[in-house]
Amino acid sequence: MAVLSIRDLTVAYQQQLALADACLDVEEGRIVALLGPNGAGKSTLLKASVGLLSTIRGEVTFFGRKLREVRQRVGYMSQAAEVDWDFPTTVRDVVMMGRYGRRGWLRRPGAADRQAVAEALDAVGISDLAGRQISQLSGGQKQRTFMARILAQDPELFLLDEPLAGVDVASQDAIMAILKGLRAEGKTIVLVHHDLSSVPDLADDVVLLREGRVVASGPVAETFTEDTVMQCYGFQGLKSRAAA
Amino acid sequence: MTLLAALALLSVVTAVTCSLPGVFLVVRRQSMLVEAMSHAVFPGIVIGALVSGSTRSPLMIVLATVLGLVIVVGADKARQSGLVTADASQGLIYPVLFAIGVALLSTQLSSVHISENAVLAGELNLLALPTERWIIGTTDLGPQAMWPLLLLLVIDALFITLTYRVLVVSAFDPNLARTMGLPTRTVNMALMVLVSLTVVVAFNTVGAILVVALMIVPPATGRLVTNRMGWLIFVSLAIASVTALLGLWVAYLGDLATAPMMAFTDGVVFLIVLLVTRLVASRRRALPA
Repeated sequence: MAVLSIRDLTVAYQQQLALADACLDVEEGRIVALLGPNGAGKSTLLKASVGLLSTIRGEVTFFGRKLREVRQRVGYMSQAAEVDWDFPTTVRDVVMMGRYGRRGWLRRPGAADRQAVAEALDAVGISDLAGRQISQLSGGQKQRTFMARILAQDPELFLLDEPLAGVDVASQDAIMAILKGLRAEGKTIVLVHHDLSSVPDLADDVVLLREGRVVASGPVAETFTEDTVMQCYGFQGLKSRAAA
Repeated sequence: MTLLAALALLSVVTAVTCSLPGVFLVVRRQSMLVEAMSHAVFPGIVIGALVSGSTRSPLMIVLATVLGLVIVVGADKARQSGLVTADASQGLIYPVLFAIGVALLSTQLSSVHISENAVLAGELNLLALPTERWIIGTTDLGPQAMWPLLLLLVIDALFITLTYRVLVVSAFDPNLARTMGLPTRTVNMALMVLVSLTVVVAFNTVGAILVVALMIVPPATGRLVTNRMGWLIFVSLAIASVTALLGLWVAYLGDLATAPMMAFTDGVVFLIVLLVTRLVASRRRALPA
């Protein structure tokens, strides 16, 4: 059974199709990279699948069910650029937000939650930043904070919108190691990704999008070819791929 | 109760009641929503006063609060249509509503007791007079106008305590709140109802125009000195209380209307805090520890 199954998902902004009849099946324990140039519909695909955008048609199931029946098994992480990093809060409190869905928002966080937050901070290597105001974080530290939050959320399926955008090399390595570690635990990861050169190292499967359509999808070895990358990105992509 | 004591009570209660929901508007970057709302509720206040003959009737409060929500819902719809961008969608609606209010006030209400002055600056001084007290037996319970504000303050405090986590996550990362299944829409709408209610209930004391200063400036000042949400609430309420008393003192010395002096003091305190925090920050940069 597919962990995530998307059929004919179609989204439009005003009169403009952002996603057209996208179909996708994600198997358990895989790292799936959504690739494509800006405006190809990668983030739209993730957002629409978790109900953040209204869709024209299409069906999305998680573990064979509707999202609302399995919310705790699905974690979604926004692009870091989409939130207000001047918000008056600390790294620790942001990570704690990941716990609210699990224990209910009415209850005060307990010892188990604090433990989960501490472990998540430790896993991404930012325990020393726990009390830091979030506006003082670097790009890499912001992404690590978000990773810690979704680790504290503890889902089975991770939907990550550009978790490696704007990060330094150390943070990139740390986050990629975490993603591989999650896969080793049998978790499933779908991420929007920009750096073509790291695709073969990180991902098991790729989904290539262009102008709202899925051009190709499948295992990296078969699908991440010169042909498909050319078709999706043009020559520029071919060069980036060659760097791998 | 002396007049000064009644004035002090009414000023502080008004300032605190306004600034509590204001904290959430400031962190959500929706400060100007209050400006739009305070104009939009105006025709509701005028029509309510026309129908009931008073600016304190429950009918007026309900009518005006609903009109305040027209801004929230209307601006949302306008934004979703994609034809106008964020702030413009509010700008489209509230001038129309305010104009209707002004037209009604100047043509229909010449006989009823709402003056342009009261609309602009409220009647805080008059509402503290001995004739406007709530007296049970021989006990003077302070200005009548204070009690609806106090009730609203209690409702706000309960609401914020209960939904604090949803409010914070929805403000910081609405997408996370929605995907986790938190009741963001309901809680946001409830917050908007309370904001609109605050604007309406504060109308009598501070008028439709100054309410934005009382709601937004204390939290904005607080934001300069704290980076924690919990502290921000506490600091904002403290600043609101202090500026209310300072404003009252200035008004008392100068024989002026109290509400405008409260707003004025809010502004002055904001500027002073801004200057001091900037100076401290540049000192720190100049002398690395």
